Amino acid sequence: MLFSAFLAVFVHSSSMAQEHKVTGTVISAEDNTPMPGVYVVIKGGTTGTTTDANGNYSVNVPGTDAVLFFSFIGFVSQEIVVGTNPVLNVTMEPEFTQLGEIVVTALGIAKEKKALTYAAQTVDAGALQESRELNAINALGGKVAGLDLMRSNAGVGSASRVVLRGNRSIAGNNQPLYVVDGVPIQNNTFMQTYGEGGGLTSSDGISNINPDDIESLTVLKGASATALYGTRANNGAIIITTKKGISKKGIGLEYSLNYSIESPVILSKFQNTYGQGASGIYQPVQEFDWGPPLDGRQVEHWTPDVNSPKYGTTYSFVAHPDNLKDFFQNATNVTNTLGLTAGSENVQAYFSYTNTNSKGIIRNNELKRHNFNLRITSKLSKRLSADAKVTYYHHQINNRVSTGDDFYNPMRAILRQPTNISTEEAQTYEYFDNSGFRLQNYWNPHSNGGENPWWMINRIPAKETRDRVLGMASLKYELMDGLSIQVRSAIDYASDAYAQQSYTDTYTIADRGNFRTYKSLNYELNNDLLINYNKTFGDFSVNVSAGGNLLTQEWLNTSVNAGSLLKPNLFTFGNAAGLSASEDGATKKLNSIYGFASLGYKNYLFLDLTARNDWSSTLPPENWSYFYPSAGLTWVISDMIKSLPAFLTFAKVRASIAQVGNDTDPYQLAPQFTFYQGGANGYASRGGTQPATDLKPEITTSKEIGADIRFFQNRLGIDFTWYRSNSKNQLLGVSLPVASGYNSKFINAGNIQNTGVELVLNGTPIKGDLTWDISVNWATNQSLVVKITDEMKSYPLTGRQWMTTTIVREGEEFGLILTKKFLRNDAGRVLIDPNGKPLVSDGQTEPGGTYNPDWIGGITNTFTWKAFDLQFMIDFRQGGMIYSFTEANLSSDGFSDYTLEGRDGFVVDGVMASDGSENTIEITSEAYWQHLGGRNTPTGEPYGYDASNSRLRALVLGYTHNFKNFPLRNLRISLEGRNLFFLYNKAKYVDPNLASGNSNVQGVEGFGLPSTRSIGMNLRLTF
Amino acid sequence: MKTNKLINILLSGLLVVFVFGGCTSDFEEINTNKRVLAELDQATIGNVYAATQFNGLMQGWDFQTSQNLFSDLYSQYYSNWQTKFQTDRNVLNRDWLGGAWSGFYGQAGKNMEVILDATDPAVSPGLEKQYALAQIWKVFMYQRITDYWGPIPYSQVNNAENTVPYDSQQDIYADFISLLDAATTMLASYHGENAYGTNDQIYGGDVDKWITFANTLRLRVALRISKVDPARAKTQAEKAVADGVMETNDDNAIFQTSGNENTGGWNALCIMLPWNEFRMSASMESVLKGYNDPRLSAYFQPAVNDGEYRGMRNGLSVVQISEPQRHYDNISTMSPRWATYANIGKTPVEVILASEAYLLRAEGALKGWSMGITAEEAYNKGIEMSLEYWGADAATIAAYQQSMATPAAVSDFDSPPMTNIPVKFGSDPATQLEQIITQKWLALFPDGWEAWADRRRLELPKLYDIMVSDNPDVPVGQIMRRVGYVPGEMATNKEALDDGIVKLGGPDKANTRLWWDPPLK
Repeated sequence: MLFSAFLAVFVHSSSMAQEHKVTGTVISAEDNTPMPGVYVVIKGGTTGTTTDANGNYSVNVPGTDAVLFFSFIGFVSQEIVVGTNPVLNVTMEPEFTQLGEIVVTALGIAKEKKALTYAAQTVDAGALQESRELNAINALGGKVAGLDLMRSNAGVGSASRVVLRGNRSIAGNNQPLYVVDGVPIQNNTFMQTYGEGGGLTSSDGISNINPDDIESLTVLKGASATALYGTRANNGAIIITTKKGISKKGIGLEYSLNYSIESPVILSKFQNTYGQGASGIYQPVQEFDWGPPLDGRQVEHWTPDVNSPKYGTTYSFVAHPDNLKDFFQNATNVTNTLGLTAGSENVQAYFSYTNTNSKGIIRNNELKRHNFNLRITSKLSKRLSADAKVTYYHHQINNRVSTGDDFYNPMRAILRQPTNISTEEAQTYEYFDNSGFRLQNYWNPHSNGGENPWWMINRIPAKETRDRVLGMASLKYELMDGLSIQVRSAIDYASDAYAQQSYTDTYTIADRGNFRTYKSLNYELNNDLLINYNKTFGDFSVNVSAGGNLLTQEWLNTSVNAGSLLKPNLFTFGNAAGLSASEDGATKKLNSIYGFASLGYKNYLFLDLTARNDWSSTLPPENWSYFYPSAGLTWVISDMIKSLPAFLTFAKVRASIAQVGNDTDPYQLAPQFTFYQGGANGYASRGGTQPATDLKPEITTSKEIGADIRFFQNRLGIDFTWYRSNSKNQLLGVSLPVASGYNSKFINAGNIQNTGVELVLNGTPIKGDLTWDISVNWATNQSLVVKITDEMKSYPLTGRQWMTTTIVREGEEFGLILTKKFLRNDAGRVLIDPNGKPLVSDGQTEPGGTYNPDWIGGITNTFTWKAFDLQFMIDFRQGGMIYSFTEANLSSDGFSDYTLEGRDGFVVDGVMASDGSENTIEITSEAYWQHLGGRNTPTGEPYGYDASNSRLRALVLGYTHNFKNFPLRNLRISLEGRNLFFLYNKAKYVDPNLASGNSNVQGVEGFGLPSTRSIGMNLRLTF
Repeated sequence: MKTNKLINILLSGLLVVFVFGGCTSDFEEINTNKRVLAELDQATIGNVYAATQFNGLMQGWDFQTSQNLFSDLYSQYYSNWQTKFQTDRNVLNRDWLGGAWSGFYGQAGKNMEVILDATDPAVSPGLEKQYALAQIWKVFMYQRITDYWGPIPYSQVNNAENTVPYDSQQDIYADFISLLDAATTMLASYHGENAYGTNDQIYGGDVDKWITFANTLRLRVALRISKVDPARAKTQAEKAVADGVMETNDDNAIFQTSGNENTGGWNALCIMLPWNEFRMSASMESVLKGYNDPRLSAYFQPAVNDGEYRGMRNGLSVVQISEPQRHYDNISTMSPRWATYANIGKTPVEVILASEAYLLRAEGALKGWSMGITAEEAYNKGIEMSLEYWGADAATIAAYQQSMATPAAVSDFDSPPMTNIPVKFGSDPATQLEQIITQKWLALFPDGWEAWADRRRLELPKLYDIMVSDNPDVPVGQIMRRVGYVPGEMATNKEALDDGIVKLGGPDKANTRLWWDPPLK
């Protein structure tokens, strides 16, 4: 239907307007050398090009009144009226800020940054490529005001969680929409877990994008910026523009190599004074370090292998403080990228291939990744141009690291290895009994929850693969000067597979072996049409667009689990003692039409208006159509009033208001009776969610004001934004009393209010041979739960976790953490029970802070001297809480250093609950920490830490050399370090910026991998 | 002219956009989930009933957080071996109980009402048998739940509202009797017929067996209320016996398991045993070994390390559990019937056995009720049925009934014998009652729900004290009287819960007695 719509337009067209070709060379004022890669775009349009390796460009403009923008990171952008001259050479002046920069906004429309009515921050693609991380999006941390980035701790290929301007959705997704070359892409996480319970968290969709293909990346934070993307951009959008081919002679080639080594940053502190056992008694089967002193006494060896020479012998009872360190290896990342560009006047191609090989700090945790990208842009006729792109992505991740209290998590095993057991001996993780069965060599055979950590990384092999194809094709036809129509079709297809084999004798979880597979297919098709009209009438400029989008999403998940194996260690489904399979899937359609108008007056006053209507298949018929508008105004004071003081270079103020609607998941409207295996004929059960028959779309309303002021010829600039968003009618699956027959029902409720301030400060304190640029960003956001419903004052974000429950509660900040705390008297003294132990709350009922930071920020300093540059970035995250389930376990098992205190007895500071008298009853630290910690419902209070921290996030030292008259035109080599050290970390035992998974449940970690310190080099050769 | 043409083109383009934008004809089809049924057709009612049997027995993943960590320990069938589990030391872990609560209401409770709505003769005539069988099963499963907590949501379950009121236990028990009356009256017209067929995993749909089950359940209910409402208890017990309770092991209600842990329908103990979390209790060791009870090897197996049957005391501190003599390989685990994972879909679950019916009659007869049998006869029949069920031959049974052996001392903490009664029926009523309840405790194994209820009602059997209590409300020497309400109810049904606590008549603690459990005079 879409294509025929295009044809209809195409056939009818008979415009004869004069097209005009402009060519030229762009050179740098710095050294008068040609500048490749300069972005050349027709103002107000969606077409543009980049200069070739020799700084040449060629572009067809609609007429002589067309305006070309020239833009390059680090240089003053220029705006030039084409006129009649077919040759337009441009000299670019370096600058530290991007005044006059072109920003690619919603629907791929290029806009002058000064005309924007909302905050947008662009990040240099170089930041993604140098000092790189496996997940390109991680490079944004600390760089963008109001962007809160949390990494998850699942080893190589971990997902991240990006939140712009605070959490606003109670039950849904809080991450932004990613848009690549004008088309939204999926950012789903195939397997997702949360909190201290843990499990597997896969890579996220955005990590599939190759940083080497990225030309520029713009963060659109507010609803105003993203109103045109609708529903899915409710949380802001990150707009990625990828590279295109350029017209030039011969083939341009770029090669880069990135190599880095990572080492774990171990923050847990262990005691090395006491060994395995309980109550001071050595017991080889214990998984605690509450045993006798490690004084070198001879103790019975632990191995259950009767054929081992160690069996029945004794060994020296001494500490092995490096057990954890020895368990890890240094991680390595090697990335090779080859980029090719070629092009004639009418057809340009860009091809790239990137190969990534990573080894994690956990042995056998590996990632292999291939990115292929081919993009062809062409001018099919004078007025018809085409843009087509195919991206193929493949990864294989071996032995993805499970998180939290999941029994598959190897961290859980190594952290709990008694210190008297040496790595060397533990590394003999298996043996064969007399009948030839492979058995685990472990100190507590058949333990419930304990395993030999080396068995876990060798005998529970898992393989995860993802294949993803992103395809895009668009055709654009210029009907007449300033009027164009574009049709585009884009597909995003991803196939995920996970297969895990557990060898027989993997205690509790797979005593009899196990083989399981998960598969997932995700498909998204976007068809859109955009009509754009762009014209200047005297003092007024008009840019109007209208269009529509048809979105289809489909997913299918299947899992097959061989519960136990008949023949040990033969991993086929035919060998299953009990086989179960499940399947789930859904389809969703979202149809949209939208319109957009930007009106300019004398190039200093701009008014933006947008409107969008969505039709979502997930909502009931009476509510499936919903409309939402936005409006914004920008006033560039410095362009209007020419008599401003000389020190004031640029000043603008802006204001906007916007609404964005949101729908829900498929299949919420009808009752559901499910069937499952059991009994003679199967079991049936009614679903737990009460069908919602009158759901309304969710609406977020945002207001934003801001100012952008620059002084002293751009040596100093301040960008300030204040915003407030209110998300109402949220679709909540609210909990019902389970006796009502339903666990939950969907209602429209809530008013989550996010209010915040963002500040970006840029300065150039020193300019000359040595230049020092400094960029500071700072943001604070408060997420306030204004209301849930009249009756409902609080709402859980998920089910109960071992140690914490995260809820939203009226009148409080979003993401309140409930946990168990000490009971205290009015004077705040801890109450003590008759046994001398502190009394704690019965359940997770006590508020223990939120996970939201009070503020986040970053400082980036860049020094350039001749061909050298040095950049370092410090990030900050202040406030919020992090609860450590790891410490709750390490302390109760006697591993933490602080458990040394009171081993022979101490008196807990507190008063007797019975009569208020001072506590005098002595208990051991063993009794104390076992009372508070442990796996089952530990008391969170002693394990909750202030998450404030700051660290040297990145350091890059680079050298660039330009060659003249040599095939190699440019060489850049840089040394880089990431996550080098903490300036401070109040949560001393954990890295508070690492999360268990990327869901809405944050503020708690459980047996996570430590963060890593990385040091590497990057080499880039341009031919 | 050119401009007009262009405008036409634009408008037609926009029109197309609007048409496809508003094209919603396939939306309802797209938003229909074809992997589920949107309506409960008549053919599916039996499948829901089948699920309700499994879930009503709490054999699902909530088995541990309902039965195993609470009543199984408070009836001292087992002792806890996990250092980190505190319920054996009388700590009310409300989070675990939350799993039990939502496991029950979220599955069995909900689906029971679905069945009753779908088979209500007033709405769907022709499904009377199905309706009656559901009513009987409803009584069975709710008795366990109210006997854990006291007042619970009952009469207005499945109201789909934000609040579900609590009913007093007195009202709930009154309704149990009404339901049994209604069901047995209705079923009287269907002798020899079948309902639910193979979806009934207990009796294969045999209506007559269900009538006997209902009468036996009535007898159980009657004795439960015998302290608080003796007159009604007597009437109900006598009616039950007159109408016909279970008399042979052929009458036994036994849930036939199926499947594996990835499906439903299994025996939960077979999943749990390899986790090594609990072991034979010292009380079990004292009685089974002292009596040289043939059920010893049916229930337990010798310790791995030395081949001896050995239990351990309840309520051990973390330190005590960790002592090497109590390593799980030094203590008896359950017999291979349950301790073998492969039996997960083979080992059946005992629901109510004829042995219990006789021992209930023995207690009734001791009270002077007309039980159609003397207390001693009923006592010996109860023993006979139980031993026969667990595989003993007639000679062994006869010898056991006459045995003067008494419970043995236990090595764990050098504990003296649990009590001094022999098997042979005694002469004074106090001994007789202790014997009846001790034998009932043995016969009910492994049904901790029922055994803990008897222990609260009669302070029998005379189980060992726990070693350590971590709950100041229930110190060593006292017993747990109930379990506590759960965080989910505090969060979602607070108002109703507060009213429930008023109906409980005491604080929401473990030492508050239930309605049927006033102190013994």
